[in-house]
Amino acid sequence: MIGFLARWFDARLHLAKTARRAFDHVFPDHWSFMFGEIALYSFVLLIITGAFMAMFFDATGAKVSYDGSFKELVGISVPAAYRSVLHLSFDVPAGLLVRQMHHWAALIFIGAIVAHLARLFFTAAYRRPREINWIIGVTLLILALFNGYFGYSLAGDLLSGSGLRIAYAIVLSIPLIGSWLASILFGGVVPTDVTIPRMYMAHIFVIPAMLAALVALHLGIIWRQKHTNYPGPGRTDETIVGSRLWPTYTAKSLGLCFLVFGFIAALGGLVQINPVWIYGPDNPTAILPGAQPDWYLGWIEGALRLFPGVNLRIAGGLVPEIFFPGVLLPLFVFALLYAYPFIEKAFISVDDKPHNVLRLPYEQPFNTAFGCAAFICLLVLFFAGSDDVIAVTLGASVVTIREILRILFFVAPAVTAVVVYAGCSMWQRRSESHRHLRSLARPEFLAVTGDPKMKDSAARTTLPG
Amino acid sequence: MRADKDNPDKEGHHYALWGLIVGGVAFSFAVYRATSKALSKVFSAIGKTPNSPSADLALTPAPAVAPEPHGRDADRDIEPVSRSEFEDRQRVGLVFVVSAFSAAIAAGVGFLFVYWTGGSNMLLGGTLALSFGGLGAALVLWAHWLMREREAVEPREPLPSSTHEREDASKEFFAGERQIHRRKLLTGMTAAVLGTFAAIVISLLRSFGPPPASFMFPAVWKRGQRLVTGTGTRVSMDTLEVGSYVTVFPENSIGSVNAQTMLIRVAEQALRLPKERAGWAPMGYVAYSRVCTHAGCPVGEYETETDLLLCPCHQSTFAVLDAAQPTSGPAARALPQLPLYVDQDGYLCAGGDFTEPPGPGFWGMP
Repeated sequence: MIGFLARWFDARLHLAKTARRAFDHVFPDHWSFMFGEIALYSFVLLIITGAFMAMFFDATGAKVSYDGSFKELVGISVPAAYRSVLHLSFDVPAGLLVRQMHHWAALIFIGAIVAHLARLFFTAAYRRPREINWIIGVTLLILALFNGYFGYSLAGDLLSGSGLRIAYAIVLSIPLIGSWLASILFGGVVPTDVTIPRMYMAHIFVIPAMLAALVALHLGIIWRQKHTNYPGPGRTDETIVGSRLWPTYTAKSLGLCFLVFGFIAALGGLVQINPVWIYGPDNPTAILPGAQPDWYLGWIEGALRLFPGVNLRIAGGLVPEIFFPGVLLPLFVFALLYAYPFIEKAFISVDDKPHNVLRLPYEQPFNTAFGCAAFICLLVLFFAGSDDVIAVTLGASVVTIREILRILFFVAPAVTAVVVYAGCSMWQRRSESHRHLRSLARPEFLAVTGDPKMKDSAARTTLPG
Repeated sequence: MRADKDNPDKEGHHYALWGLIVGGVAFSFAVYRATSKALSKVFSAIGKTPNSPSADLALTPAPAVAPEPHGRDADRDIEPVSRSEFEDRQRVGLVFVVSAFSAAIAAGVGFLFVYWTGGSNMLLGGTLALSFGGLGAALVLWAHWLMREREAVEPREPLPSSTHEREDASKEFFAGERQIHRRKLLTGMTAAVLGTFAAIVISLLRSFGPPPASFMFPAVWKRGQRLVTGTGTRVSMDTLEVGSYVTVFPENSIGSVNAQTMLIRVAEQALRLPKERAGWAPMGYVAYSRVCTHAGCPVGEYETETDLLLCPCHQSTFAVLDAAQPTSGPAARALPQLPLYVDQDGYLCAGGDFTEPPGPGFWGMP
């Protein structure tokens, strides 16, 4: 059967040579290379579960009377979208499972992208020739953040309504064009009749189409350039070491795919997420205390809370305080992410040679210190996003917690940077002297392994005497 | 989204279930490690007994070093394990792979049973998780234990094209480009058409929303409109005690987003309103917009002891006695105040509109 199909397609597409080369394509084996795959497989699951949910979702903001099987809300006027979400959750067999799997898959999708990005950053995998894929990857992250946000804004519940009003305020704050932009995006003061249909179209078609196209491009470029390798004996810039696509890597990667599906199914079945029936329908005059966004927007939420209330007017126009943490901060963060490979090669390592062997974190103290400091910065903001919950938990006042977090925002990254830099430098010196001693003891060692990293370090080390 | 404050025990419930999942994964992994060690010992012991029938088993490994066409094995590193060692490995692996596949099939059947009998979400998720997870584990274990090839090395081709290839391509391109470039008029017209298209696309954005002026400066309150609570009750002088508050709307638009107003009663002599707002707070009834000037959330909480209004979204506070000036948190602008007076029937009325447009700030805000 396989033989027949293979001959059938080959007779039409001339595939034998391509397939033969593809089977031998080598993929490296390392746990940290799985983050990208986890993101890919959560995306696949998002599309499958999302298609199921779209069959039931009513993208309408208009109020209807709820009449489903969740007794507490019967007879209450709710957005039609909200009613359809409750219908899916309570009256469609396995509907709740699919819905919760979709939400968990979204959280894991973005988490895996962020972990993947951190792995690339701390091993300098963005260096030539992989700058293009870095840029595509950052774009994928941005699109994923938007799509996650649109997704949870669709349900017409009180939390998503609050989130929408904050997003509206952020868009509105942009100097000169803010109110036009808010009008174009939301059709007026949220929620309008067009808010949910527009976000729905973006959430299920426009952004997923962009994501799918960019994911395909991302994978195509990886295929073309091949993966990187961690440094080690026999790992050089001219070769790639790992498992072949057929059959080992295929089995491993498909296995990972189903493990990811299984983990998300476990979460979707066992751990409740976004119980919109507890929050209640959207109501612009109500608010839930202790409300927080999904984890991936926690840093922006925290920045909104920490940024001081400055009342700035430029040339007669008001620049609202929310513009700085809500618009400038994310713009700055993503601009820096896009530019980092180019900044790094121009000013930090001053190295534009192609690299296929990764740099270990301790071999690049500046990058590692910078990355850790940035991470700590975002972590402080993330915790600031729940400063009220922290204050309640610790029994302190929100004002105190906020002041502490404001100080930490500056101090913690600085301390982290110094400590990490010093630690990496020490580690680097130690491992270099180890290698130096080894190379003195066994001069033939370098020639045998042919490891360029070893040669480099030996060349950098000045011989005593 | 998490706001399960109302269901504190539900939160604990979540942690327990998270623990169950993570603990379950860790436990299965530990069992797997222990079993694999034990099985390896058992099978290697069996394998060492003389006259073992292992050679006759159907578990023949893939032809190991037999040369294949296309020199496939020339550049291939196969882990240097002997044939019998590999056979032992395969037996251990087979136990695992078969168990994992069995678990996946059993759990899949379990899911179908739960689904058709209308079982709970937890059972559905649990069986589906075991089914997917079993299949995933089976495939990974298959690759790990039963596939012979461990590590391969493949050369990389240099990425940049050769000088010859580049020159060839550029020669071809510029041969065509010269034909286009010569036609200055036509290239100019192409650019003009594309420019028009761009203008059309940008103009179409206009269809997406009304001009901002139409919704940015809404007339919210009119002079003489009576204040009513969310249930439609008019507010008279004895509605509130000193130190209490209520959310009010204009009489004909209950639930209006922009018009929602916080009506608080404070001790009249404690108020420190600016001079031009004298008389706006009869009997200590003072009214401010309930939409936060920071991000537009409802400023729904009032602290009697400190006379502060608190926005629960980002914890901005506003001093009720000082014309709702922000005192801490991210908000920069005071909540707009609503002038009040008492009409001849004794009900509280708006004496005009808010002092500023309610809600978050924008460039053209007065």
